[in-house]
Amino acid sequence: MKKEFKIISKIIQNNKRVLDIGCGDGTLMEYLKFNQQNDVRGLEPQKDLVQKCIAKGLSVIEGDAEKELVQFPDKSFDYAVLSQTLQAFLFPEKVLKQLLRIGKQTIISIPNFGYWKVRLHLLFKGTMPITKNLPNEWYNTPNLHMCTIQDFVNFCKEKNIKIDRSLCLTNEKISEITNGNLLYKNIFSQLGIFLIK
Amino acid sequence: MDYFDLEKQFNGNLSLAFKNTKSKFCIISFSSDWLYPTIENKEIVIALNACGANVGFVEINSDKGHDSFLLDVPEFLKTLSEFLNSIYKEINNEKRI
Repeated sequence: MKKEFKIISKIIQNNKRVLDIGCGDGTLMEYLKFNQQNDVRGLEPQKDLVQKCIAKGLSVIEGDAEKELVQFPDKSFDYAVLSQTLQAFLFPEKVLKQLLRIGKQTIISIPNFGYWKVRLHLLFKGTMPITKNLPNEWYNTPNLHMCTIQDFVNFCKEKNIKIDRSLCLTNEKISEITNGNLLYKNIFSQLGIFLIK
Repeated sequence: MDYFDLEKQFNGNLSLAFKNTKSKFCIISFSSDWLYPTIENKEIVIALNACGANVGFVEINSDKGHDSFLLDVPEFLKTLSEFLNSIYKEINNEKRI
């Protein structure tokens, strides 16, 4: 399991109700359910991946988060999890609003567009950045709304979203983001993970 | 099917029909089924989610219409058998505890 999922499962701990949005093949859900006794549900738009999840005994619904999240009642989950998907939505703000409504807390991770390799790629090559985390060309990328860690922090401030924890990940190394090191972390982190409400 | 309406008994709120259920649900629809179309299956999923039930849902692509569930649709058979297997395993594990 990738480091990001280990961090997320550590935040969640045991015996919680969790909704994993864009759960993919269910790797994180599986761990949360069988190793940490959480009650997990998933939402995933890709049929073949949903079938994989169901085969593993995971309760996953085939559907698009931009349309389907309205059906879940307020605060019906302890955690709503969104891993590296916010940037792929047509209306990320609306999706985030739904997550904050459904989950008592929301865990969200974003690939950081402020990472130094991304910045240098655009600066020196003059073409849209392609990195290990962002492997697609501009014309076929699913990512419509890329943002940086700084962007996300600013966004939360503007919308009165409380950030309970903010972590960042670079080459499998995890560290805490603080007000003091935000500028630095925004350059040197590949991924930001936030616990918000 | 047109005469059966579960919602009716619950004042139009399908969710109440499933209230306090402890069952695990797996709803499967077929893309070419005109009798039980995907959209109506989704209504069941929505009602189940509204009352916090444990539900999974997938639509299977098939050109065999409503009878898909009787015919050899490998994707469907695979999904169903693996779902049942996972339940069987879970029940056995619970018994051991």
